[in-house]
Amino acid sequence: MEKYPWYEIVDSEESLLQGDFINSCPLVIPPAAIDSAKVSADVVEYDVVIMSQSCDLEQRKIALVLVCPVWPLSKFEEKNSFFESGRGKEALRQGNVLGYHLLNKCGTNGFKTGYLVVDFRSVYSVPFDFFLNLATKKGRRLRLLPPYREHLSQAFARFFMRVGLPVDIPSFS
Amino acid sequence: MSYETASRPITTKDYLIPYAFTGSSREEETDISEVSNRLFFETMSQGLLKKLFSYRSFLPAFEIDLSSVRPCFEPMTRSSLIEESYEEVLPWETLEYNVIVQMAPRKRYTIELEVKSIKKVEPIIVEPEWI
Repeated sequence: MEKYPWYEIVDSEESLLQGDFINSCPLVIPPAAIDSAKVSADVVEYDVVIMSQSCDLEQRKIALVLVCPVWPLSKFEEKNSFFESGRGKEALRQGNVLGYHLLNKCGTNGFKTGYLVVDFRSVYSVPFDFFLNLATKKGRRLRLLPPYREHLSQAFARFFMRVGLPVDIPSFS
Repeated sequence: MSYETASRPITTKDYLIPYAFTGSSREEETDISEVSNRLFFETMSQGLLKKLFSYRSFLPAFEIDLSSVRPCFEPMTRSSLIEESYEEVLPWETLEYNVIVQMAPRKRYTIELEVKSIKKVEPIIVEPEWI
């Protein structure tokens, strides 16, 4: 367990990397139409994890940082009875629940969390400079470490690349 | 990884069992593996085993008494170990669940935005490093 830790805490000045967590990240939801010089827009705040590739972030090859909301598993249990059951949690652990990815607990003082669930269905992009400024202001942050970071990225890729067939081959059973 | 198990009894009608009991000049030094091999192939040839199981899981099915001069190899009455050797894959373990949970954001509020400009952006081209 200690040999392959899931998380580390990094200083605010460190480069943004895939797997970095930022709490209460504000995201502007544009109105349905922009038809005047002044518009009202909703701002929603989520705890997010960076999904963009670390090399793109380090070399500033992207203008927008891709993030996904992260929830404590306990919130999912409250919202949906499927995740209350051992069967649901086990399916989540095995990566068999589409669009959701389970991350381990974190026991580090000041950053203690229960199990976390990453929601791949809600993907947001945040301007790089805005996000960097936010991350710096927030102070030290939690970072998911390899190979769990790559595992998260792979799960996201699997979710994104899935293909539903209009006419499937009938089941053999 | 699970392996396909044979559902039919394995017959050796046209196939010689690739095992010949070599025996030993001294009975008390009889090799355990030889005796267990003999038991295994004899049991198979008699069709007593309805399902194929791994060789490794076969050995614990016999009581092996090394204390006597003449080693004792008797089939044990319990068969749970053989049954347990199958890697049972429950159907629900292989299913993908499509459950959607609508989660409200931590916080939601409205802001007024002043639209400074509306323009169609030019593509941002990132040159690969090898160019």
